[in-house]
Amino acid sequence: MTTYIIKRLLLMIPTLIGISIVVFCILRAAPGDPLTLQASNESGTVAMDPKMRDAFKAMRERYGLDKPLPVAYGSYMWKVLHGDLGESIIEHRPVKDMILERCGLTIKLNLTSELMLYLFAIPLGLLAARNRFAPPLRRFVCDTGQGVMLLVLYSLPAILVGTLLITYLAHGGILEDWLIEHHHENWLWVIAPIGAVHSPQSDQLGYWAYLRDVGWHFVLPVLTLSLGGLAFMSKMARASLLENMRMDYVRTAYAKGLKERVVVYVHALRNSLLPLITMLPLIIPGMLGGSVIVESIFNLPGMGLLYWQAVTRRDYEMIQAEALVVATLVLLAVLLSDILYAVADPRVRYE
Amino acid sequence: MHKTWRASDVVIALLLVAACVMMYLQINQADRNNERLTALVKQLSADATVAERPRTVEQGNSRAGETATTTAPAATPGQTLAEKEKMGDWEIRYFPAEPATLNPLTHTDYYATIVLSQYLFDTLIDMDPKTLEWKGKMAESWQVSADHLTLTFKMREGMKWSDGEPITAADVVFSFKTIKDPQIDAASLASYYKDIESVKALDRLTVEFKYARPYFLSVEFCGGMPIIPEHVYHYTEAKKFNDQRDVLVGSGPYVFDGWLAGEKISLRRNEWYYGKPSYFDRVIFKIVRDDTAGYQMTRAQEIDRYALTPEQYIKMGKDEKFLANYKRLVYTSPGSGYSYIGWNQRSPLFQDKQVRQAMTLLIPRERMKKDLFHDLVEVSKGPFWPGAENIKVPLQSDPTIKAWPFDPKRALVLLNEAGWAADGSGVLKKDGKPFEFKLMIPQGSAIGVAIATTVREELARVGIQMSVLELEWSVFEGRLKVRNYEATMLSWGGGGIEEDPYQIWHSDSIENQGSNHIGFKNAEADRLITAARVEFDRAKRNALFNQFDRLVYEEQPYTFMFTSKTRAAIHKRFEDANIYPLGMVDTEWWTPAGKRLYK
Repeated sequence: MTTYIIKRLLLMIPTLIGISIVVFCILRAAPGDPLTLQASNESGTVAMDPKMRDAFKAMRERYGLDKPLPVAYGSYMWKVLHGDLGESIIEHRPVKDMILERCGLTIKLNLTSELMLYLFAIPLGLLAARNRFAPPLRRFVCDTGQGVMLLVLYSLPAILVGTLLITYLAHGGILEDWLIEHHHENWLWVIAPIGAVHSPQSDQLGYWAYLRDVGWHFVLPVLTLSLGGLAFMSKMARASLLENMRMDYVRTAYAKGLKERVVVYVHALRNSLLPLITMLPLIIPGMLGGSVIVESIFNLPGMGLLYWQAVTRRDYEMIQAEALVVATLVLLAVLLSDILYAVADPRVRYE
Repeated sequence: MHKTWRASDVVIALLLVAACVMMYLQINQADRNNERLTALVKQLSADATVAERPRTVEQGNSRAGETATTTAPAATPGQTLAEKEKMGDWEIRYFPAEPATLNPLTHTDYYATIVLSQYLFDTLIDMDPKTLEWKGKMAESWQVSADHLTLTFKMREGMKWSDGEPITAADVVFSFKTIKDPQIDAASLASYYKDIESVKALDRLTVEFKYARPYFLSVEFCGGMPIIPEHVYHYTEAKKFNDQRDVLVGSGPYVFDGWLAGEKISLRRNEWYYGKPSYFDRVIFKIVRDDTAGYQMTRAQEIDRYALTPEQYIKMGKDEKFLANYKRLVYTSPGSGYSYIGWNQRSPLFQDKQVRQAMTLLIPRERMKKDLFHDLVEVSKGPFWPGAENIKVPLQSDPTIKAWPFDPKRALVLLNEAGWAADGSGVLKKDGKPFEFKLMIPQGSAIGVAIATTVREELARVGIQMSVLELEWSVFEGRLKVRNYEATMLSWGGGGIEEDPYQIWHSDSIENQGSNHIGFKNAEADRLITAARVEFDRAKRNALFNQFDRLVYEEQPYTFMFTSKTRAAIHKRFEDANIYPLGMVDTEWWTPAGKRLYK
């Protein structure tokens, strides 16, 4: 097992180099560079002013944008190998600082979403599976109907869900107006604030009030981020449980006279959770992608927002560094999922 | 030993995780308390002892959220009791994008300009927002020599930087040198000062600028130059200066108080300010990138001044709850620029003046203003700011000019005169060739596409075939640079009360990728621009510009499209939130004691 893990870790090195080359080439091939795009902010006046051209040429040299591709890549990799992820040309700060500053929020957001996903998906899948052979009406409510609803949610893009949640549920939204209009002021606590990580004067709040404030700001983003995966996960839980219910050991359990509750929750459920556990790390890449959208709708300054901003500004070293970080996270997640598989299921062995 | 997990194991694991989370939260909380305490201690010790030394460029940026130290002066001069009672409350403004840097010299974006020039740094002179006359700010008085080459500014006595150090002429000289340093990334700023030969401090408070050639905007440029404190910003390595993103010490009514990356920029009142102190304790710029979220946060009173999109402006008008707390304003101000369709004079189609006039006559600008912009823009009639009510100073634009109307019949007559005639199938042709061209527009603007579509339909009615070419900005810009287009829709931003048309309209700016990208070449226009640039009598100069304005109106090298209006939602608790010809001045606003939202 240890050799297997070491082998996999070593294999990551060429993969990461490959990824960095591809990202590097795509970036340089895309039109515009950080300096010209920055200059075009003022309707292109600066960039088009002939007097400015020399100044920009000097700046281009200063930031190494005039070097030929292989040279630029070589010097970039040299820096990376020495532990320096580079510096943002636009913000004049080390990329490492910027990522460290922002990754905390993204990690919190994604972990919470994943937790919520599992908390809701497994019971829903269980409910559906247990009602697979129920009478028609009950089956419709608990299995098919619920499944269709989840699929609808699955197919809604996060950007739409986020905007709808903001318009209806958030502070300043339709629900709040309705509550006030109908004098349900004692229900106003359900309204979730948006647009920041905490309220403007949160530093004056006490311990629990502060926790509630931060937590409440997270509700809608987490909801948006986890809704899509919910259908997928609960369908998976359902299928897995149904499959296990047909197994011989379940029949044996029934045969030796165990109660149905024990058969389902102790024997079948435990085995059917296996594929779900291995999925745990695999959702991370999808969520990282989703957080780009969620963070920009809800205005949360995390890594996704940083990435998106860097792309629009063509902030080369920033994009490259983020691509490397995300690629490493994804590769680690895949590895973790393989290891979890072996840990959870003793039948699986890696040599 | 059992090898599989039992329910009890799961419970223990969950408890462990919960314990870890609680521990993390507890540590987090302790950190918060600690930070609060440190800030308090810092404040107390700063109040008690003599001014602590501020950070300098050499020491680098602060960490996110870290606040600068504060030191209060003994007393604020010229402050009456009534003024004191107006003080309090915060103003929460909003930015749709985050500035890249707040470096006072190397910044290029609009948002950094607002923070730096309206709040953090004063200049030698500035324009009165009501009368549009120049008045002294840091300068008490200024003189221009008879040959218009030497400008002497006499600075006020007793001005202090926000760290309590005196502001002197040496700081002005240092600022100029830094701007001109080729190692400093201030190229866009330096382009304004290329004609200045030298800047000298004559004594502690007098500074002299020497120009190489006379220039009509020299007072404005010198008087508006950003001035930074030498004792803080002095540098040995240019990189250290370029990398400085925070504002260390300023001279404006507010001082920088922290920047939470991606979230907000905070300012607080400058206790050392030499002028009239501002009323708000703090000004916060929230960074909200999403329109929907921004609108909603404003509606929930989390933002005090918000820039509405045209759709949001309409929506807000129907929203009584929103209108109960906020004023909905729309106004024109200089500096909003204008959009235009530029007819490339290199294309044989648009060399003829009559054709260009016909094109303008064929574009229903009034109708688009109503249908596409809900009347929230003005139809633009020329390259200069058209002015506003109650302005007494002479303006560059000719007040007698009215925008060209929409008149397809007259357009057809003009086209016929120019040799274009409709054939049997209704296609306009000249020497057997049909009238067809491509309109190049930058990608990503829905309203741009809507305008282009309307134009295409109107032109098709008289037999002109126009197709729309939508390009990604960097590709678009590349084609603009090599002048590879027939017509393009674009806008010029900025502009002010007095602008120099040389860059966009003089024939010198055609070559070398200059801004005269359509290749407008007119000897009379060149003569008027050159003459006006060295005319120092405001009335005479603007008479020349009026003449130039009429000439452009006649030639129609551009079809001037729209000037946008500022649409704002402003919280009703603010007093003195007036609209001046120059726009709104937030630093004059205040909140009556009973209505304050923040403390």
